[in-house]
Amino acid sequence: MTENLEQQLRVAFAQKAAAISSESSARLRASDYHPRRHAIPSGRSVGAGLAVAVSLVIGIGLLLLLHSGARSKSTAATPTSPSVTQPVGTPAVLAEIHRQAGSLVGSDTAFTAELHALHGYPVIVIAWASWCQPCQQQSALLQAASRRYGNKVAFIGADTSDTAGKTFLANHALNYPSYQLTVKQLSSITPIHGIPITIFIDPAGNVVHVQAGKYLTHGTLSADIAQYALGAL
Amino acid sequence: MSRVRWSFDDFVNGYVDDLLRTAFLITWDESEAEDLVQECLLRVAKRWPRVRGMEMPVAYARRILVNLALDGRGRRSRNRRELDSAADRISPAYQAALDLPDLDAEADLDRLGQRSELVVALGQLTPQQRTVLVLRYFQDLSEAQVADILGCSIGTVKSSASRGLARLRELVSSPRQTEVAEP
Repeated sequence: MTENLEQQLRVAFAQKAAAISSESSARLRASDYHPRRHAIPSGRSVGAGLAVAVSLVIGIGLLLLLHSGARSKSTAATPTSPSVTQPVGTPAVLAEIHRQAGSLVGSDTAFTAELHALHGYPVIVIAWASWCQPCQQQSALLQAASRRYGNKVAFIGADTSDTAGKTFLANHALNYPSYQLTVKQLSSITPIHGIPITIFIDPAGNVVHVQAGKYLTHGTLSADIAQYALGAL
Repeated sequence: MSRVRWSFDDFVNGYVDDLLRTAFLITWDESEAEDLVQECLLRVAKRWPRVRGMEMPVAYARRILVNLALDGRGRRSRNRRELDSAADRISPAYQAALDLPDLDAEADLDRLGQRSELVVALGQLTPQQRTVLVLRYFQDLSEAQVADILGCSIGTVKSSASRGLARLRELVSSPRQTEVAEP
């Protein structure tokens, strides 16, 4: 009974939260908060220098990763999951992803290689962690989306748990495969400010949208998929 | 766990919706929520060089936001809030929220009546009563995380959450007999 009310409460909050207009958030995004005005000048230039250095290192690292990834195509054999069904007409490369559902397929090298192999298809990278409650809460939405759009869009998990990811996957069936990455490795694609984060990559390999924080409704997730994944096709 | 340093703009873009919805659900008032989030982000911006190095900058922002919301800063009069909540029941935005086609369509049809009652009941709680519920069931934070944000003990979080749930159950189970007894 209590559990039931708690569940209904989650839905009621999500419904009410959806009533908020997009203008409020647009206004808040557009506001100028002048963060730099308050920064200590010397700290700022040091910070800027560091930022340039870090992005250079990340950039070079990414180039190297792409290079090695392209040469050593992922060959990791993965357990099949009989429960996963895929729509007829799924391209081979996406069908392979469905076959890898629920498993940890590799680390950052394999992940980079996979992104490379997926050029030509929109990719949605879902960063999660075993300890992340909001990740688990949005999991049902993403799984439904993966079932629905998996024949056109590649859904790939990025497990940023330190060690518990495998145990988590043993207890929770995900219908997409995951790669084990650190947040740092993942941020070679786009800045990562926290988990959950969902990254939309277009068929040309560019990050086109980043959802920071969990998805609250099927509606917002579907809208983003339509705009940033299917829209690119 | 490595920490990624990010820009304030990225932080705003990434979390403004999260903060805005949290404030909205606590205050039950969109323009008040917008004011609160703006004030909260101004404060975060002021301390950004320090905040950006934190493991969870958003946790810090949420703490500021909740404190602002419960502080009474920018809080409107009870009358105003009641008017708003009455307008809520028929406003197009509210109606649109109920008409959402998402969220397990089938189960929704079963419980839609009850759920919309629940939304109305939530609107009758005080912001204080709602805060714990918002943090626990909208943000899905643990009792310990909620205690950290509110600056109280886990025991207090547990008891306020169960009082809030009990009040909701009361409001939902007999809304018509008692009408709205809450002052």
